[in-house]
Amino acid sequence: MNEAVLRFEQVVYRYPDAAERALQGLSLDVPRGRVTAILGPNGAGKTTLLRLAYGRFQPQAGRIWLEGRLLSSYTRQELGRKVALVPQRETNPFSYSLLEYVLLGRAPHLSPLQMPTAEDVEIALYALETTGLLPMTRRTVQSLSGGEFQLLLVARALAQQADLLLLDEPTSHLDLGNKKRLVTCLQNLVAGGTTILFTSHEPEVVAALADQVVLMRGGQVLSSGALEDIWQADRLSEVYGIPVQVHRFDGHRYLTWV
Amino acid sequence: MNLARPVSSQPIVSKAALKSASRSQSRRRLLGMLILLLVVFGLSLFLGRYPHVGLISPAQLTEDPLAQRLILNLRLPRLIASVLIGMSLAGAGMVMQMVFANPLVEPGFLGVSQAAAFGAALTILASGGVGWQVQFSAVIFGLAGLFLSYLLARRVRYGGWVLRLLLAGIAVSALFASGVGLIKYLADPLRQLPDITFWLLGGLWSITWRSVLSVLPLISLGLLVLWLMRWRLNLLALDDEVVFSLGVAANRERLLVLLAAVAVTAASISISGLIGWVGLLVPQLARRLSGADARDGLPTAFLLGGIFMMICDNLARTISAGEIPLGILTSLLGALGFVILMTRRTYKV
Repeated sequence: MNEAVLRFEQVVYRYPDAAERALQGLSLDVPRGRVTAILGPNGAGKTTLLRLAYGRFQPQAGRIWLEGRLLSSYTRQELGRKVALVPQRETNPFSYSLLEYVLLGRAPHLSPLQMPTAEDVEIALYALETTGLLPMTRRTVQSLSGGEFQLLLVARALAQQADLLLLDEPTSHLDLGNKKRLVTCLQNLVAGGTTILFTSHEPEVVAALADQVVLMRGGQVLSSGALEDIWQADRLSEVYGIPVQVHRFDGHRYLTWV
Repeated sequence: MNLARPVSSQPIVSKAALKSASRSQSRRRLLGMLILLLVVFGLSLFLGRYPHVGLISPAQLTEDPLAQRLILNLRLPRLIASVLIGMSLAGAGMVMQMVFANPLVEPGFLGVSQAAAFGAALTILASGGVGWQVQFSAVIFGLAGLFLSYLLARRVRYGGWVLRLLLAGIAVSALFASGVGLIKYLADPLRQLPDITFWLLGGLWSITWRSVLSVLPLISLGLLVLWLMRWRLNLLALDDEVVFSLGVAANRERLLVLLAAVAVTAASISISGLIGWVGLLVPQLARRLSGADARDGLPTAFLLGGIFMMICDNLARTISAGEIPLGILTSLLGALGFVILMTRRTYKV
């Protein structure tokens, strides 16, 4: 049950031309069917960690395991079926319909000359339904609000039918209502068995969504564990380098820093 | 938890309706455009100055051997060439716009057009310009332009891969453009300069069966590759990290479709001279008709490009007794169409 979908072992990564390592000997387990949040100040290496997790970059030292196999042993297409990414932002100048855009998530399941089949359309429509976007399927991507667009990217990742969903600061540009919609949507996915790994700068989103929390700073894990254990004033103060208080109210945890 | 709260005022649509409606609709539209292309082709065959502007009637055709020869040996290859060139330039434009994720890119990017022009002008200067030599040189230089842009892009130390290709293309274009300028300056103003100028302005008056057949294999192959990859083009327009996460070897596939696009462009230019604006305008128009998905957009661009080019060439050969260079007409109509597209309130790319 507590098997790790993704495991980092002493992973070192340095960007070409960079003086310092972005990740220095980082170890991490992402348990199956749970939500793991990565929290840390800017430049802690959160996004780099995600990039290694979907195979975009190869570590210079250490090992990354995906479902018990070395991540570097997967082909790119295999990786596309195992790991889906919801990027922080994305640009596209063309006016796709939502269905056309979500269908792109079927790419790892199709060979280069194959067109999406009726079954792929079925899967894409199901992903749109799951994210609550089905009523606006005929609208164009450009007409969406920021929150709806973020949900669309989640829908595309769902159409990939991957085991592991990576999200890079999924709520950073969203207003409260859209944050709530996205968090609810992700909670439903986890209930359906998806494993989620996401980075965030927003403590309230992490507290609402995560089972596991990883605190990162300077390319290393400061501490990691269950939400209750990590959500302590001293640990959070240490990671951000400022005094932080944790309050409990009505079963929820709140964080104040002023 | 009910996620599907009404966000828009549109009614909830059934999945089944969504699935069937859009595909069959687009198939009907493509079929309609194919028929239109064939009708324009048929009419154009009989349209022209013989000796006055008008259509050659079937009765005239049966008794006038000169009219038969005119249609079979001059107009037919010329029309086939204009369809091929229109399809190539519009298709290549669509591909480039998608690969560079920029709706304002056209096939001449990456130095192809200017390099082909340089190759043609150089041959005219060196050997006086025998048809097939000019053509061969234009294709070779066009591909060399791409290759040079590619090599340069690998050396550029700035921006992502797409931006680097674009910057390299601008530099290579400028390089060959200055070369063309130099050749025009050096050329014999009575014998060579008119040839070079006509080539730079573009036109189909010199098309023969031989020139059509010489580019037919390359253009067919290139267009086939693009057509087979048409859904894939959508993926190549995505950001690098996204397309990677979708399991696509993006740069390899981008290179393949760019190579096909450049090959058909260079082959087209080699028999027609420089023809601008088609590759910019027609894809824009195609996307407006069919939507952004290149599954429909690319075939639409092919067909529209063919129709547009036939109409432009009909005008070029009938408006005045002397032929008007085709490149001038496509620029005129293209620029007008572009202005109309851009200033419409509902403009979307």
